[in-house]
Amino acid sequence: MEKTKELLYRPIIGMELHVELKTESKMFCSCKGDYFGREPNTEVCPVCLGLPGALPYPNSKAIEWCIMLGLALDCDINKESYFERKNYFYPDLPKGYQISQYKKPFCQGGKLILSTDKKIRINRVHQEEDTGKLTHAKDVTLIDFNRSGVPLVEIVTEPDFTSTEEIKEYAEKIQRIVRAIGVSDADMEKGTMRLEPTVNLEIREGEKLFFTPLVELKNINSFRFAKKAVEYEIKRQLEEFRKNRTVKTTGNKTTRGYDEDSDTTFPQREKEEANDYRYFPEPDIPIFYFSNEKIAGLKEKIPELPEERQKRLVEKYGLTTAQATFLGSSKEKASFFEKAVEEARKQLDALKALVTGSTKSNGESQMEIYRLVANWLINSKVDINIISPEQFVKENLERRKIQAFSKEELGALVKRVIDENQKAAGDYTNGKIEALGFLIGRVKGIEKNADAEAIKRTIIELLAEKNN
Amino acid sequence: MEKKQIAKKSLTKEEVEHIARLAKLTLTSKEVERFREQLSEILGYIEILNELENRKGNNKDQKHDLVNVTREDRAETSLDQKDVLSQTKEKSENMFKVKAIFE
Amino acid sequence: MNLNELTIKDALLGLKNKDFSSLDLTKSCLERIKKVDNKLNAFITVSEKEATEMAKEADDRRKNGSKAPLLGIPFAVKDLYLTKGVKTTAGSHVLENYIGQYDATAITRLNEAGAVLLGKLNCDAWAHGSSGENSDFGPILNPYDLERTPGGSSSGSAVSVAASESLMAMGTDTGGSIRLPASFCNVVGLKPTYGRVSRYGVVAMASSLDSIGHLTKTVSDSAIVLNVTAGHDIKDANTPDVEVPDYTKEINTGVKDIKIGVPKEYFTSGLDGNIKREIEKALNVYEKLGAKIAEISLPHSKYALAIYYILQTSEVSSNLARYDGIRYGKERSEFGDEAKRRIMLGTFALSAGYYEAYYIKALKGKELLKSDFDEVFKKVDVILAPVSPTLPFRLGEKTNDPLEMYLSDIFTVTANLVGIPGLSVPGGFINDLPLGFQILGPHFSESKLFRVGKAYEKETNWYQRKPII
Repeated sequence: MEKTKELLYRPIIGMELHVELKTESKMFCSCKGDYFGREPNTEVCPVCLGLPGALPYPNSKAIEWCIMLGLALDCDINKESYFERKNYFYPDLPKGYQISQYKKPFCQGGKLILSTDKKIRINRVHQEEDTGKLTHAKDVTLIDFNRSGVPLVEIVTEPDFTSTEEIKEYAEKIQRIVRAIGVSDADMEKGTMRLEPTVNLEIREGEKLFFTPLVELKNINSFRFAKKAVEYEIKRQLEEFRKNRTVKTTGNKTTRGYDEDSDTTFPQREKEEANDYRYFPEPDIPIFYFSNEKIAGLKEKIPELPEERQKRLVEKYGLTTAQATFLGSSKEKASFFEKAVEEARKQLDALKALVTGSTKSNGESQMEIYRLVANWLINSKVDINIISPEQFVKENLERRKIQAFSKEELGALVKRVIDENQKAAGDYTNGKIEALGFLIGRVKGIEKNADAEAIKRTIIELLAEKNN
Repeated sequence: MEKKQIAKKSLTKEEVEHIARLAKLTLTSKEVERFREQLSEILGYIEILNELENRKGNNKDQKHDLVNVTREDRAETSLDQKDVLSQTKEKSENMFKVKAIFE
Repeated sequence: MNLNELTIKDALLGLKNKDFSSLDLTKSCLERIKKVDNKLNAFITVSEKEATEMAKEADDRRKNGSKAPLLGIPFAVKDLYLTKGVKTTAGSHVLENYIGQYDATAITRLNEAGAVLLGKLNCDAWAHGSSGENSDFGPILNPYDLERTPGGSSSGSAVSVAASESLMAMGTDTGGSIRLPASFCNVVGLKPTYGRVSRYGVVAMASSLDSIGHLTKTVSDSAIVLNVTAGHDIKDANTPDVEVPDYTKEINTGVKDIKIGVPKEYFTSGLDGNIKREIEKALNVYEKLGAKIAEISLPHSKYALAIYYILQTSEVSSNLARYDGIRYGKERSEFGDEAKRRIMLGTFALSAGYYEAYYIKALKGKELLKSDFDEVFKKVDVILAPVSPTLPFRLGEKTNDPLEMYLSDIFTVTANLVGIPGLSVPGGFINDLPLGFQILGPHFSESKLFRVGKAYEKETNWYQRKPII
């Protein structure tokens, strides 16, 4: 509970998150799903324009992707489920209802674990269709239906968030998961991922507990704005409560939009009678039964998710959490890293053989190599789409070959050179500085990439030891 | 609380007006009164279903054994923009036009 | 006999034998329309020019050896079917200027089969009605008695066939809208199994109940048309991929192996005594032909109409939501009384606090009706029942009492709720007014219905009694 002037309060936040799927065709018709940059009203047909007599026909891939998302979020898949009609009037909704899911969504009851180990409960992951796009001009509103009918997945959480940091982490994690499965760009700015947090406050005043009215926030198009909108809303509700002491009742939930310019939220015009959607089973679409085999098959299709990948990088390669988070954030990066590790192992073995005559190395030094490669990747600005893992390792080895020598390995090489050049070593000990240059030169003669500074240091140390 | 039993239902004027708003219908006061009477009469007839209470039966809307009907995710040609916009006069910049809605 | 009075079967024979051309046939229908339709009001749109073109095209196709199954046959459609480039009104002012932007699947299939579209038929607005009086384009009149209704809502469809304006007409049946006008107008009306014919492109009334069927002069003609319209459609998710047999194949095999069930619940006090007697006569005909007759029980029949009026209006309220005047058509204020009434009733049944008590309860009731029929079809092949509780009634007789009008559908709505096929067959006349009975069978049993219908038709030939207009 945060404390502000005698009032103890705790934000209660739930989240509805929409993801637009990048299927080739729309949810219930064969129009193109990709509407970006198209001429208005060119990607529409009788179905998504809501013409008389047109009927929906579900897209199998969209349904599979919805279920895969549900599975990735640890949901139960309903063996039997169906679409329902959500009835309301709005100019962007051509049929006067949205085909959505209500009583029996495809996926229910999942969870997502945050980095703090906090569990965010997921109520449902369901499928629906997008609406047309409204453009507001001076006295008129213009409608383009290209977006109408594009498949959407809605992920609804329980009101489990208590801070804006949690919201941001949750949304970022969902984005990574969605991208990992490859079902959507999940781009907040393009609107292919949309966040709608619902916010209210639990306020303690002495022994008494109050809850402020629920507010759903819209028009949020970046993670940063999500955080700012909710922060503003918490402040606003606290003020409001101080002033009016209004508390939550059934039916006093409102919708507010976020205005990024003023960094405030403002009340949105309520859709008339918006709270009675008169859901009923969509009669135009037969119900769905999903067998255990079907569900298991879809589970197998889910690629490794970022969280799992990061965990594996830590366990298998001994990377630090920071390294694993960076490299595990995308499939491409992680796979490049793993290939680079393979290459490094090959090339390092060759190198070591040259130095010590042995290819054996213990587990500990293997981990060293992995971390080294990880750091190369993290610190370099290399474009992994252009360079091959092999070339990448080779270049780094060339550039920083000395780092490939362990202290012992370099020590052994220097010792060999000293033993072979007793006279020069004696000269140096006796104050003949030029002799050091000669010794360095001999070491470099054997291994031209060895770092001169490190060789110098090692020679000095070894000779000092010898003479003590 | 959802009522499972159909109560003896005589609609009020307010209820009729509420339903009309939900349905986006504008009714004259005469119509409200006429529909109030007629709908109440029909709802009275429907009360016969109370006799079905506690009998078995599921609430799935299944018309036949058809399940899992889907199509492949393949895009096809859409309507011509000209045809799409052919049935309205209220258009501008190839978009449909309504009077301003403020969000 | 004029060409327009031919059955499809005879017309196809005549076309094949080059006795006449499709153009001759089409022109004779167009002339008939010109002559009598001002009295009947069956057509909203007559596409004379297009029909003439199509007839010529059909004649060319035939010359080129085409054997398309309905090549050159003139037909008309209820104005609920979308036809690209042709006005589609649904009988309502809301769509009075609406030009279809695409073709319904049934229209596409009939086009491919070579049928010639004469025009669009008047009907109760949005298919809401049992009398044809609820059209915003004026009432349709019964050709057998111009002071009476032809039944609804596919009124123009029944009338155009009965009055020989067309050889066949497409209709829709959501609660009896093909069978009732068929029985009032002495024609054959088929309501196929739900999903047998694609609904795509037909203005939806109640999606889970709408059946796409047709009206013809004879049972054989009905089978010929279903051969063309039936089958899976990738645009309608409710059309199962069940094989489409040749429906004419077994049509003449008689009823010796058929057991006909007669539901006792349909022969109660609500049924006109004259109609009851005529149906008993029909049963005698069947017995004589070798069929077995058995009394059966459909115990939940009395709930059917109440169940129907909840489910149907709920779906209507949602299906009519797209008519907002933005993309096409006029504003919602243009809806007539009956549409408003149904939208209101359905909206109420789905609204918060009432959904469980009305909609969910009705769905449960529907399941009970289904199990009634499942049980009965274990014992009998088909069910024979009246279509309408009364003979064709007078215009205006029921227009002020919606519930009284709804009761006209009391014997027909069950087939829609259960999704089974029903064939309405002319069953004779009482005081010069036609009556029909319906034969109901299990899902996808249309072949059997045609067989049973045809056996009776061969004995009685009621269809040959034409109206005098």
